[in-house]
Amino acid sequence: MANLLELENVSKIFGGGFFNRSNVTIAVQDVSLAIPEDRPTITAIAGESGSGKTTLARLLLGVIPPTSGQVRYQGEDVQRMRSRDWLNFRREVQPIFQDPFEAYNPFYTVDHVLHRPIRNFKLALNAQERDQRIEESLRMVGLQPDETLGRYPHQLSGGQRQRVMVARALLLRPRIILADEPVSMVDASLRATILRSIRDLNRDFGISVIYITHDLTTAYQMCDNIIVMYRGVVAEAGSVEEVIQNPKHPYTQLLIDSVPQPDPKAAWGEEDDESVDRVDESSIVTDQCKFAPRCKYVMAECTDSAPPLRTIGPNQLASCFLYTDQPEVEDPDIGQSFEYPVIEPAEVTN
Amino acid sequence: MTTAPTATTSTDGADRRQSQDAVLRVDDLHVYYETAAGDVKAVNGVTFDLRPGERLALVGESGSGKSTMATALMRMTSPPGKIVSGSIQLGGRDLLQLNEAEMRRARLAEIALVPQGAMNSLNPVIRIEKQIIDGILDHVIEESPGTSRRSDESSFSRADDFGALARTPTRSELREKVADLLTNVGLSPSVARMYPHELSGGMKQRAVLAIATCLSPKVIVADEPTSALDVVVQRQIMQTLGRLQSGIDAAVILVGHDMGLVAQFADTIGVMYAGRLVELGPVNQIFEDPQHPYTKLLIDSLPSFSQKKEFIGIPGMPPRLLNLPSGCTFYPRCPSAMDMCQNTDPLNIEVRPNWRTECHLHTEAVSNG
Repeated sequence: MANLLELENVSKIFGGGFFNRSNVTIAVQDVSLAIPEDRPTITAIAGESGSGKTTLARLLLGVIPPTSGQVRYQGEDVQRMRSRDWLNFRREVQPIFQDPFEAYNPFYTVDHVLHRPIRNFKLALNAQERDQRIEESLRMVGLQPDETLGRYPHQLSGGQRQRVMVARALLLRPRIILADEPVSMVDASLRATILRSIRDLNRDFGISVIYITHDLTTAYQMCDNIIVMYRGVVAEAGSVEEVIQNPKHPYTQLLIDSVPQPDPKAAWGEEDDESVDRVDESSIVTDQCKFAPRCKYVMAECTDSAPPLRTIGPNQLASCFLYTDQPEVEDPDIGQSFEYPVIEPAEVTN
Repeated sequence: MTTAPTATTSTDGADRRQSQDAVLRVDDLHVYYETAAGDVKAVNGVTFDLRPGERLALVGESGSGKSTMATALMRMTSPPGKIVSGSIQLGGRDLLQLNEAEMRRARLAEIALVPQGAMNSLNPVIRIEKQIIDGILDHVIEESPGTSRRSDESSFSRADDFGALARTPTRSELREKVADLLTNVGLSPSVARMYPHELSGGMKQRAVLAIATCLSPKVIVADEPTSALDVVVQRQIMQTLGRLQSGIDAAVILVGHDMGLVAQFADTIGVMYAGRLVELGPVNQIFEDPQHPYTKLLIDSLPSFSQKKEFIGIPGMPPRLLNLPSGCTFYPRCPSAMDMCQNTDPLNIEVRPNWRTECHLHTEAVSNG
């Protein structure tokens, strides 16, 4: 099975350099992940701030080079692509960013962000074809073209602006959409609509979606699989059902426990965890479990070496010394634990 | 002068309750933003009362007026915003009638604000200690000839009703106070000598809580206090706020849109829509059986871990506050809209004890029954 986009033992280290060797930040450490070509899925990358999830997204988009390892698209190293392949990569892997307010130039109507990619990638022969394509994309995300086109960004609501961004990504007929916190700036009532339009892209057009978020509830609702990161390391990964309903890594357990459930009768982790503010970041050395300073199950071996990823179940991996009786993974690819939904593509989009 | 579009039809029982034990009473408050195109009615006739120690959450979409409400309670509305009418009774006095000096003393001592993005509200070039002390010292009034200085009196006792302190605390008293406050919010006293950039987001938020509670206010207004924090830190901060609040028996008004947080933290929920409080009542019961269609949609749109369900959004957009339609403001988006909703303003009806809503679904019930 061919892989569309894959990370092979990718690490990204910021800082350091000749004069400042001690002061480095390991944003992403040794992550391998393959997104298959023929089985479109929605994958969540979840974690707190500083977990490296946005760095991982930027690596996947090819906008920053990895310090070690390789990012490959259709088998080719993204950092060494020929310009034609690079153009193709940039068309087929589309980002949707966090802030729908800053993605626009306020002096242009929203048409501008839709015309521009068509011109850059020469997707339409004439204005008529272009407009037809734009209108089609807008309808796909549930917007009325006549209510949207010709308006300035400030005349649209936040939810509409973000959906125009989804339409823009869709315009390019991408194969992968990388959405970095697409709804964190949007009201709760509008979140549902935007997430649904992104999910429909996966279900109806077979586009793989990588959904980067700190919000585990929307990740659970929307995604098939999830990767939980902690300080650049994969803590736990697998199908959302397994990871959310039956978390194994103490960090995932803490995260899920901390989410305030919209039900007054649900318990909200009574136990007061004060550890987070006590952690001195510089004290964390690389060859130990990074979660050890906060972990309530911390053991001697946790500070001796970093825990390898282990196979906990058919659809679940975790890196924790609590599970030494489980086998270590042979293939570092996290995607091996994923569950792929059966989707019948509605139509061929390319 | 504006006329309130709906009459408050509170029962006698509710009136008695309000007059007896409310620490804060907001009555028919109107806050408008004056623009060239006309008045934007951000808060359009809000009435509620707050008992000591109560935790009220004000929720709503952006533009519903909840942050305007928070600023107005502190009387910190700035132009083009204007408090047009109504009253805010705190401990029996109308905050809107106080002069500037009195209001300045009431802030922090009587009613304190934990601002939105509180992490960024600290001054980056001043040590935490000084930022806490500043607020305390601002409440010392020059001793007037009539009052004699009594050294046996606690330095933090009140000299008057407005929250002024009886005398200037000594340096060691202040240091002790700061250490106490920091310990209370879960920080080490050594944080006092630090600058904000040396602290993490959660620690900064704790420092802000220390400032807000330094004079044991009766009401704490927290405007989205955890919006920029991770879930783990969010839970810690909310638990700290809850502990502080019950320690000094202060009432809390939590402004925000995170219904999960509301469900876990608050006793009472007030749902704001287009500048009005469309539903107000006990959290447990409202989550179980919301009476206003908007509240129901808000609750239904929440994702949770309990089951995978279809994403349900709320169709349509909130109305422009500049030209509010007649009748119910939620009418264009309401799934249970009726003919009368279009033209007649819904009354504020007490559906159950301490539970009020503004919806014609209940007008019918009242007129029929």
